[in-house]
Amino acid sequence: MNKYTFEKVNEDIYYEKLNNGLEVFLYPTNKTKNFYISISVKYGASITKYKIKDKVYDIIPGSAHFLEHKVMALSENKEISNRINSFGSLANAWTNYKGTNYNIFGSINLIENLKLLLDIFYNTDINPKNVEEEKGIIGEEIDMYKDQINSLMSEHLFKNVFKNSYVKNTVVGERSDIEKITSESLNRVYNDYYVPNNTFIVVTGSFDVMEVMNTIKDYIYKLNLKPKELPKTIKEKENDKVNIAYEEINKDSENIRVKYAIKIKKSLFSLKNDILLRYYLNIILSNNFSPTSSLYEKYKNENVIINMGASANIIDDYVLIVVSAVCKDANVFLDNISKDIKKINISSEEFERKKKLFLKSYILDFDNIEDVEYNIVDFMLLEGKVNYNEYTDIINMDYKIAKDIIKSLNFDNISIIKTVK
Amino acid sequence: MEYKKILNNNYTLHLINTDRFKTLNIVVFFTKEFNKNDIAYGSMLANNLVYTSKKYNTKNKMAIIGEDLYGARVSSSFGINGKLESFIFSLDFVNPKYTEDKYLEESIDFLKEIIFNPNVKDKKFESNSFDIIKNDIKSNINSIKDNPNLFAGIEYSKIMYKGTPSSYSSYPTLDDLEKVTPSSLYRFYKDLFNGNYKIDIVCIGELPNNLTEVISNKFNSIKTNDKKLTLTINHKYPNKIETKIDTLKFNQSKLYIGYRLLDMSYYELNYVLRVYNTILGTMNDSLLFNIVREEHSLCYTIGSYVSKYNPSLTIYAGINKINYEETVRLIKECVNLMSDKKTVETLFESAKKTINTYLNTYYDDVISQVNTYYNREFETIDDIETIKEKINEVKIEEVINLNKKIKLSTIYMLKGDNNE
Repeated sequence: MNKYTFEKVNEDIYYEKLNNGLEVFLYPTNKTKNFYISISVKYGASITKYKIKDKVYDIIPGSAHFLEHKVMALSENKEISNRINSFGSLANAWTNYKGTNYNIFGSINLIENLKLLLDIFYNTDINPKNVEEEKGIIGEEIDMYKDQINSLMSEHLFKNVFKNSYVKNTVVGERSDIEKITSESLNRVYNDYYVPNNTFIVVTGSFDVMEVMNTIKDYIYKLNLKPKELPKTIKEKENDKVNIAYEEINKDSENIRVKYAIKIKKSLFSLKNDILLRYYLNIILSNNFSPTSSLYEKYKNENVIINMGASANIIDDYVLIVVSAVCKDANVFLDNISKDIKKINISSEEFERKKKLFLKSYILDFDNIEDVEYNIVDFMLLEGKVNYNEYTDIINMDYKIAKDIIKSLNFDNISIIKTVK
Repeated sequence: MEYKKILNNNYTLHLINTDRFKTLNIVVFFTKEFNKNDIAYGSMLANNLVYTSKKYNTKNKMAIIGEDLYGARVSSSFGINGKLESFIFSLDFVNPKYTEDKYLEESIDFLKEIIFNPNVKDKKFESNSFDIIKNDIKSNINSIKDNPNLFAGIEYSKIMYKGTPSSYSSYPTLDDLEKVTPSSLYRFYKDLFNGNYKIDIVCIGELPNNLTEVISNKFNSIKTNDKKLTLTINHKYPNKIETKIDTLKFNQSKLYIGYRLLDMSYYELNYVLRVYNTILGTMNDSLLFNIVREEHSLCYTIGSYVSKYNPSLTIYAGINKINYEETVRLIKECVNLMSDKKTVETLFESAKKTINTYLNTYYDDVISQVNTYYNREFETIDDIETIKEKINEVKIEEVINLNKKIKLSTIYMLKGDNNE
């Protein structure tokens, strides 16, 4: 077991990779009475097709999320459920494009809770009956997201920008997708991806490191889980050009919502570290489009927007920049933004000031054991490793690189989506 | 953790000294009895004061100073809590021991600037910012119908809590908003400091030794009201069950069912009801979750919450419109099951443990601690360890008997109908 220390805040993480490839991260702290335990699998909605042992399989959209419901099916496993409840613990799970996470939050008997979480993860029963029963619940979840305008617009935008990428499907899928999901298709994915060398455990809170590590080892060795060949994800080639350049969505809402998206090939940027590239882009975008920017104030004064924001995402080989606005007149906003986006800039002073926000966030992340867990999981799902030197990375962020990134921005490849009444 | 309370003519200062957090938070509360005519002013004022100030007279300048202070943030809000209304100004900043000492005084100056130095000329709020904010609030009001949860919650409260402060949301009516002018808003603002409001300042974090003095120097021009205020509303609910269905173009329908709570003692309201509500609708295996969601697949979201100051219990669910009758029937069945000893027994001990877990999060949460010390100015609140002990002493019979004091009052549904 190795100990790693996060700089500046002097917070320690204990790490070990077991023989079968399962990785364990432990963050002990005496500042809380609670604990947070999670087990994550590096399989999420981004995998749509894979190859294993010379066989190729398509995955029905929504499968990763459906699988999450069936693994964390406490009402079907009364014994485990009753034991979790007997400790007063709270069990939950989530799925995103990059992974699936199962967790228990509690305050008494961490060791038993840990074993129960592992029981849930490794003793899944997916059968035709319980798969059919789950479809009604997931259908309601899908409807709930479709009623959220922002979520609906993002869903459409991703489909318009990307022709073949995984983001053209939502994490939860469509009602028509989940109708096609069967116990057989879920069991296949479970067997292929829920394997030790594709899984990691994070425990944060008040506990004894050796006791927790030994419990995990004993449990895993008793199961005699061997590392398995991991499936090879098959990605379809994505077109450089946006798929659909313009779409109107009928929505009888009070204000007009607009998303102005730019798709840029990642290879155009000389910075090759995705996380750092995202940091730089978010600083640049915040400086130009967030409520703290002078452009935001100008737009407010001229009644161009009600509000506006921008984000940068890295999706496979592309950078996706999206400026989102709520406004009264989409044409006025689009006229303005199409010119102003080409004037993106940042001064050295502004750059240094924005860096301070990243440092604040880094320092405060350790105030909460759930945030510590989330950050480790996020690093693992996005990068496959935890960065213990993030503080230095932020401090060393260089204004010249920011300027280079701005020079690399290309604004020709645009997709616009707006609501119309 | 160490708590100290200092009373003076200007304010009541609450100092919660703890090394649990890497931030320092200073929260200023202005509190008085609720008046529905204050909603439009409250909303306008809370937004105006953080938009610009005299010194930082553009939104951009206001943003820059926050970033310069390592992301120091001042948020402001106007809220209705039980019988009372309050303005809350909340500053959070990184403990200067992680940055530089000078940021303590500079961050508190930022809060002071926002509260005491508004962007005012000739006794009027600056008109450009004023108009922008008024338009934003108008737009927010008109957009309520675009958010099904918000719309349904507001409409449900109007029926359930009719005639009491709880029936109002912090969104003003368009008519009331229209009446607010830059000069009338300034008169309203000046009233904050004239002794009409009870003023509390709550500080939490690893507090520097000179904090009391720094605060005293910066907040010496205000005057607090020491009149005793209370949160609890004596709401005489009608006996008739109110039912209402609204329809809007959404995929999902939102169901709210309200139960009034009859003559509950402090012990019942604070302890027995907590166990009752946990079993009914908040724990992993709650009756609502198990019966309505898991056994009948009728919803994804379902749960319940208690309103302590206008004693009531609310059950909410996101459902398909065609399942309305079935869901209402099952929810009533779940409430009836709370009288069944066998059913309650299976979840009783687990519910207490779950509450214990919830209560432990108090120590990890700045806002819970700030609100507890602030609310203690108006009601008795036991400390967390005492609450844990008393929850542990609750008897199963007390939970079952509570069902006699819970009566159905309101059924509201926002019917999601994309075809209408």
